Amino acid sequence: MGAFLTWAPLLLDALSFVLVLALVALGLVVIFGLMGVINLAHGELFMLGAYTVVLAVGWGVPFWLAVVLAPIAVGAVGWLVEVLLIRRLAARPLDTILATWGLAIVLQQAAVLAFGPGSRSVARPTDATVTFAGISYPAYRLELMAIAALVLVATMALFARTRVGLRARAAIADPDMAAALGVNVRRVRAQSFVLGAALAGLAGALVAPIISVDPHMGFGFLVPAFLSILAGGGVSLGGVLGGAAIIGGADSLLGHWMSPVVSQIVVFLIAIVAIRLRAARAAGS
Amino acid sequence: MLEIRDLRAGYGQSMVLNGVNLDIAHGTVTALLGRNGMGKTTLCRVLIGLLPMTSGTITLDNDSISHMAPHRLARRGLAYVPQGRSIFARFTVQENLDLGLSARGGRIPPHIFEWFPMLAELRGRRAGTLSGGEQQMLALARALVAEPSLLILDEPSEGLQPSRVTAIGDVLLRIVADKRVTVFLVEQNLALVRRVAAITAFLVDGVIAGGAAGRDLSPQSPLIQRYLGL
Repeated sequence: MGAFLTWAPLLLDALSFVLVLALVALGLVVIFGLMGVINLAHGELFMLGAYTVVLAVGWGVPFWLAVVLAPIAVGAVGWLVEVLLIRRLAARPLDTILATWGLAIVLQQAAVLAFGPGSRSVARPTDATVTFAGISYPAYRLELMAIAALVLVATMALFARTRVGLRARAAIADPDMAAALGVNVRRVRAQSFVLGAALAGLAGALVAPIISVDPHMGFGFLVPAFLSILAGGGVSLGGVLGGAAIIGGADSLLGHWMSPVVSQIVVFLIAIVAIRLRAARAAGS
Repeated sequence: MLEIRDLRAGYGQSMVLNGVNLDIAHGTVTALLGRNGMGKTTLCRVLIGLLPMTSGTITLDNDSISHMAPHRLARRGLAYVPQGRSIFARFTVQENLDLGLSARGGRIPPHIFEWFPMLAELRGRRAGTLSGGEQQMLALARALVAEPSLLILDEPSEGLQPSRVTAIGDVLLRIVADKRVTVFLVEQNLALVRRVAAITAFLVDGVIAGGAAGRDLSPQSPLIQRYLGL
């Protein structure tokens, strides 16, 4: 019983981190899968989601309404980025990497100018705790997990079960044939960038009350999100969850026993092993 | 009526089509024959909007469709079955057919499963697990799901056993007779062309070098000897 009481909160903390990481990684995968764009500004879209909540709550908007507004606002930013930048660099993957890297720097510095270099915070919508099986756990973290899980399932269902998702998958598999069948591939790609940005914005909004919000917060999620995708096997939506479970779970749990530097080294080693195992299995099959 | 006038297109600096002029009459099968490398597939890709033309015009029922995007052409009534079929191998048969509805929405017309009864039984199967002949039927059915006015087929008989080629011919004759679909058929299979085509044109070095009534063609005819070297 003592071990359970010790482990359960740690595992729940890890699960909440895994689900948020999966949201960020899913946004990256949607953008990469449909557009072939490695979006190095994805962490900054996550950061914009967090600042949207900080600002909106500061203006008196109820917290949950701010959480709804954040993906809409960041999705709109994503649409602008797609129209003004990404679309003009179509079929130039290296240029898009450089362009999104530059965009990341611009967004970070814009946040520094607008909000200052220091961190901001926003109050949780509730300080209540939920007690079950002898442990007390913050209600907000449970709500965060439920919302993240729901959005992950809904996004996967969108791709797997709807005509919109079918057309998107067709645009990934064979864009020319999809276009010849009547799919507006350019519009599908624009929508995917907006969706990916909105997922990042939602993830940022959800974690705003439990981490410090600052202009550089995105990088801390971007790297593990990329590692999650690699460990999970590339662009598979299902693989994102597995990758996030490996990377996010290790990152969160190891941080309780090791210094941040050592735990990050171990996480990188775990990622390398997972990627090597996956590559070996792919080569074998 | 599809009218192609002085159509030029290619890849980069390399021109493949050097002034194609061709009329494709409504509700008929017009075939295009030519050796490999003469520009048949390039012409198909230009017609469906996947390859930009350098110059020339394409009109469909007196409306210009030159430079139109592929998805708009699909919505305008053009359907395309490319060489190699390009079915979505990891999708189910049903999903492949549903994609055919992207151009017009709605449901799969019931006559599709009358024309392709084997597909009704294979709806849940992954398309990549079908035989070559079944995949070709799926590609044809997927194009017809949109109820197109013009169907462009690029070597549908390639790699198929004779019974499957006969089945494709049956379907082509039926869609022209029942639905008045216009068919532009690029083929190497002379027997199939002779069976279904009203008019046959020959593409040589990127230009239409001649034409004949489809049924007049035989392996011994001078046109076949000259342009295909059979």
